[in-house]
Amino acid sequence: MLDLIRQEFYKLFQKKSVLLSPLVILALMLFMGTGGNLSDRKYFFTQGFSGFQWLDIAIVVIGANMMAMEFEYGTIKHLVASHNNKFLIYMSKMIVLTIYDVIMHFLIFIFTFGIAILVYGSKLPLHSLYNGRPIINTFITATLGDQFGTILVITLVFLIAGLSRTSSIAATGGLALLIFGTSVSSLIIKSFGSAFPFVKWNPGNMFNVGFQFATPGIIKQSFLTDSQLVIGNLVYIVLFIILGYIAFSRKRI
Amino acid sequence: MNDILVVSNLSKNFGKHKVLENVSFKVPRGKVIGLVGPNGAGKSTIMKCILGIYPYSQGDIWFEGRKMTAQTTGTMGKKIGALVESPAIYPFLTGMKHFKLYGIKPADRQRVIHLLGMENYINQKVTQYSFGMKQKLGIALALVNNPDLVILDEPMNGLDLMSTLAVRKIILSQAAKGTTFIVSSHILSELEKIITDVVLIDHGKIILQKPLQALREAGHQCFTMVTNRNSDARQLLGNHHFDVSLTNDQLQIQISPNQLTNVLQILLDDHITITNISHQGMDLETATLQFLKQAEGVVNHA
Repeated sequence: MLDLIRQEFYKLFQKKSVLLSPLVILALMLFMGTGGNLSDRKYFFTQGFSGFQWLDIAIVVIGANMMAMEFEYGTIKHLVASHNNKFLIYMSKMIVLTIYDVIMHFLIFIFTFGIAILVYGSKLPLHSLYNGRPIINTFITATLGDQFGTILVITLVFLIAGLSRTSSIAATGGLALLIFGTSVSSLIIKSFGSAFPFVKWNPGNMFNVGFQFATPGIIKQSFLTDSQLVIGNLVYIVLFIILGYIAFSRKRI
Repeated sequence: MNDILVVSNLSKNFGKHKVLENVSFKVPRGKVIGLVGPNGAGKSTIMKCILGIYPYSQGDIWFEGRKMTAQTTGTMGKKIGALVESPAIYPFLTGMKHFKLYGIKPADRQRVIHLLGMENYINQKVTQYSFGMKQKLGIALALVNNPDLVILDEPMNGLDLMSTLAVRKIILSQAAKGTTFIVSSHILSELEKIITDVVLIDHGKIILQKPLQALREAGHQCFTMVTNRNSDARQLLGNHHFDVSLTNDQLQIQISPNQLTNVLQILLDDHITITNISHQGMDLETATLQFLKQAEGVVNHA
């Protein structure tokens, strides 16, 4: 397992797109941080100047490629022949992407403070209130909430990649669910929620977890409490890992 | 333990399609086994089953006396090097980085890079490699850990003459050091130069397993001979009930090698001088065709 994780890290950091993604995200965060009015900037500060949203997109693309490339390049044969344990292969990729995700969240956390210093100078409004809570509290909550939420994204992308023929299909599918998941979920809940209350447990609704931690008003859209969202996320994470592994292990080599 | 690998009653289905049916063969240690058969015969599937890439519905595979299971194949996999179908390479890495990816020691990678003559391009990204260069990298990765068993599926594919010679030389030298090889190739004339044993497969069934020499001797054989008195020699051998013909100033004598001494004795007793003699054995291509036709006949008659 350790050898597989080492190999996955090696492959991951040999890709220019992976190495450049922190710089690209930083540039996009700078754009968000220096634009808009002061009220917008407070909001953007709590959201890491949108760095987390860009990171979600990067995670989907990198994750889809990480899994699907082995089949596209035929390297899966070597991996299976060398280790003969598809579950370890699957999990090593998931662990490496999760660690990368943690590193990126840490970088975005640092970048956010850097941009905030650039925008506000030495008078950082860390304890100014936004939506009734100090900005710093909301920002830390948003960081941890997004970190938790992206684990679901990673498991979902690996499931889609296990079902797809190519990385581009997997990435497109993952992005579509990421972008439209909460909107479609909201539509379903509004349409059928009163007749069928269980629809609020749909997977699209689970993407609200990080956002709801930082913005409590989202509960009016998700109809689930924070703890319910956490439980729902954990259940779907386990389910997606199981289904993703089944899809991966049955994929024709 | 004389056999490094034993495949016993191996069967494999893809859905309802039976790809392998009770395949059994043994691979003696230090031999170079040629896995021969038409397209779709099941050669690559056998290789993938041995490597643990495919599960199989029935049968056993034993490697170095240990039964290969999901639990044991991982550890045994390190003793097996393989190139199956296409080289396992990542386009965003250089050749050298592939060795680093798999944790190959610098001394080992330098040895195999030098052996295959890859020094000039090993630090280039593999997207810049020709098909043959990629194939050589795949072979290098299969050989680099000094495995006990090397499985090569169509290793000569896309190789130029010099590379083919280099690969042949490497296989023969590694085999001489005790490495066992299972090699499949459609280029039978090339395969014939490296293998010691043949496993012929068709429609997922083993048609035969024989040492190459025995296969050559099993079929139609003759000796071609030139003497100072060809007509007299033909008459003389005919009188001794040998099947002899004379074409293009050459005698074609249909005999097995153990009858040769007798023939030579008859000619020398009559003071006929032999100026040239050669054995026309059955080559691998002819033998393969002959046995495949025989197997086809059996199937048709059944």
